[in-house]
Amino acid sequence: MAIKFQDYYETLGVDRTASPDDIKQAFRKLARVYHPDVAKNKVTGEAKFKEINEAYEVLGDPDKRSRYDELGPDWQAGGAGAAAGEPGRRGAPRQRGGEPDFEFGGTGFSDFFESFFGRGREGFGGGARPGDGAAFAREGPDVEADLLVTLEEALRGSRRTITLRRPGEDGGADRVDTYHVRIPAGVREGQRIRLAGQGGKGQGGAAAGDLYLRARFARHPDFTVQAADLHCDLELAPWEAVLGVQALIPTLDGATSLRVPPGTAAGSQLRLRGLGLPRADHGRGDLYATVRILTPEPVPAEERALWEQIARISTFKPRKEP
Amino acid sequence: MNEPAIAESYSLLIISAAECGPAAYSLEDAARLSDVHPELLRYYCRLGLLGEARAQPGAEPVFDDDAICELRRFEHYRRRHRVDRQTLRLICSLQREVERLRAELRFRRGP
Repeated sequence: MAIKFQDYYETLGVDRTASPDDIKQAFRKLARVYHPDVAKNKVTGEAKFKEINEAYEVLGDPDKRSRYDELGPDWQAGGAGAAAGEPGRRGAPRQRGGEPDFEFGGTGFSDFFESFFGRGREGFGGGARPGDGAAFAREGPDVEADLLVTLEEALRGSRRTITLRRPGEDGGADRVDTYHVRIPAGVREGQRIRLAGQGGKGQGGAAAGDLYLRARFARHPDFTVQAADLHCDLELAPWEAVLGVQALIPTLDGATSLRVPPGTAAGSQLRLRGLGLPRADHGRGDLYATVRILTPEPVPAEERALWEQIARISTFKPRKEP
Repeated sequence: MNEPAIAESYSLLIISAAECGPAAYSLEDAARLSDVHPELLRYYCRLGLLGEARAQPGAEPVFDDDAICELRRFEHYRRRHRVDRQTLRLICSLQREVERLRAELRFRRGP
């Protein structure tokens, strides 16, 4: 089963020499356009959002990016990327341990990503069972695959259709199984959904292993996740931080108005109770907005004169003189 | 004559469909599915290898798909690699630390 190379730089529309900040900006810009909640065309938008997420998952992580850059265009033809045995790299990924490999559809990650940057499909299992009678009987290995879950899906739950294609027996026709997977509201990052007996084939008449789909949260253009809490930035003008303001901020439940009190310092966290992800106790985590103060650039002459006036008359000393 | 083409396409793919989602298992079911003795499963719980959150306090413990996956992994280490229980405990704590640090790194890097 051929794996198609993914050009992640092209997906994000950035140059190969792009800085981490450029990559982050490109991701956030595209993710805001193609996010399933806002995309004009839901079907193409969702597919594009998954592509963008996968590209950022690799290029936004310095370690994965450097491994990806080493792969190069000849990744499949025995080039640098195909070197076997190097840490984190899976040369000839489809045939590990002599077991035919799997091709997933609908997980949100391409086969290319799964092969080179996934957590590894054939994890464990395959032990000979004492008392099985036949010495050669060996249970099939358990298999894991990542399942991309948006934060909105984690909040409300969803249903997804996953396909699993594997080579047929004795060189026969490929077999494709389709699963309708229920993702529950409140799914945790890393939580597994077990598909009993759908993993690697057993030997000597022993049972097949299990297949586990492991939830991985899609990157969101606005929020980061810490357990059930969400975090976002709240960007303020200096005068808004000093005087206070009523600001609109995005939440998973729609935009909401937040009162920023006068004298709010950069780095302050404002908490919006119950606007995070579902918790195990059926409550919800919180949303934390962290204040960032941005300055205008360039400063018009009239405004500059006012700042200079403040500088002259203010007695405020933000730091101790050494 | 489209019939042969249709027959051929059917010979390429065998489609099956199944409905699945997260499940909750009793201690006996979890022991059977992961092929461990129920007493050994209780012992793993006492060592904290399956995480406190997975056993409801006071009541009979309930296990999820993660617990089944981890139990099968423990058995794999124990039977195929002759890993003793103390080493298993060490492996578990290191795996959890790695997961925790991965999550922390992901959070620190931001969106």
